[in-house]
Amino acid sequence: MNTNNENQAAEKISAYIDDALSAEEVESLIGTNESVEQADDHFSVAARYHMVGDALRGELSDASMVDVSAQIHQALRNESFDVVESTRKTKPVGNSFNLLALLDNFFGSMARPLAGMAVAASVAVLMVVTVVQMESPEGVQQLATSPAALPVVTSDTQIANKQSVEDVANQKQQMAEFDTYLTEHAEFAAQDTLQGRIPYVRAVSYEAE
Amino acid sequence: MGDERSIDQALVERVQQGDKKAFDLLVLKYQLRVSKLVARFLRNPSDVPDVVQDTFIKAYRALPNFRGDSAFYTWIYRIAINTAKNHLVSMSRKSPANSIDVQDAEDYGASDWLKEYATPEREALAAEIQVNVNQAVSHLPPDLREAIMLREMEGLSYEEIASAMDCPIGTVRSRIFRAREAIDEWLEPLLDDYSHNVGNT
Repeated sequence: MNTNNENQAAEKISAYIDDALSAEEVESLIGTNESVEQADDHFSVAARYHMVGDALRGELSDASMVDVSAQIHQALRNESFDVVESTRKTKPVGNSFNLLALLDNFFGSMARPLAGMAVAASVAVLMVVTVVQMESPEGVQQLATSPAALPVVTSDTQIANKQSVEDVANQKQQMAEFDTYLTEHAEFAAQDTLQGRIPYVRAVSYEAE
Repeated sequence: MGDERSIDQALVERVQQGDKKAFDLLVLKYQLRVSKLVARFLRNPSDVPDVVQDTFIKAYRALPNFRGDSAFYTWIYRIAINTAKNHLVSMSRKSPANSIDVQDAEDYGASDWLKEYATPEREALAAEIQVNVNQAVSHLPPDLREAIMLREMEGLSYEEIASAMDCPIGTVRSRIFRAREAIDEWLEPLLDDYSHNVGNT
């Protein structure tokens, strides 16, 4: 290391391995256009500093003398890399406050759950609107008269309609039996219901009258 | 000073955008820790460099999938352990019976287990480096010696050292760098001799 620039670079590496380099200086370390030899020099400098530290702590071992950074650099030189297609822009190194970056990160991380919730809400709204329309007489009429709602009558659908009419009749009969049962066994109904709310059996018996 | 995790994450994002130099910095920072971790799993110390190299290459290839949920070092340590275990399997050997937790592995002292397998030449070199480093430190000017000892022995941050030595952080940084350079110069003949001998053999 002869020149001033090389000394400065080595000093930055010394501070970097101690986690004492500012964000801007880390950025400048990445940004320098150095030759392969200079890069290799930096690797060996860092490895030796690590080794000196281990020696001072009395922790010197074989592993302290391992320096494969130059080999890794060589191996990766021709490696193609699938650049991450991310909506996030490359952030400057460091933790300086940046409102736009903060908002970008926040909405970036929230985008997926928000999209999921939006889909779920849309489905729920669609279902509610459909049910309300089905339940209101105008809705039923509208549905019944709208060309899209008109059934295409085939032999299969006639059978299906017949079956569904029978099902509804059976269901009504079952409900009537159930209501009768509840009306006859209403002695605990008042205790089992919440205050201020009409017990189900009373409502049923009222309707029956 | 930047927060370690945020700087690592920013470097990772730079790599994900295709900047290989950012990955070089991550290698510089973590290769020693990864080497020590890997060395605890492998029976043959000469396999350590290959496994460390494989670890970083695998990490580089997997980086597009790294989302930053964990710290970069935690992530790469897992890769290192898996690579070391795979290496052992491929060499038809068993991993050490006492498994080491990722978080604990770094805190282990000098590896006694490793020493059993170290070659006499490398043990001799390590001992000689140790002696030379101590000699170099004793020849340092007092302010440089104090700065490097507070950093390496006591593990103080630059801010803490600046406070202890009553000087600006920039001065601390410069002193630590100059101390390292001086020790490195002292070691140079020894390391050159060793490389020369290894080259000859």
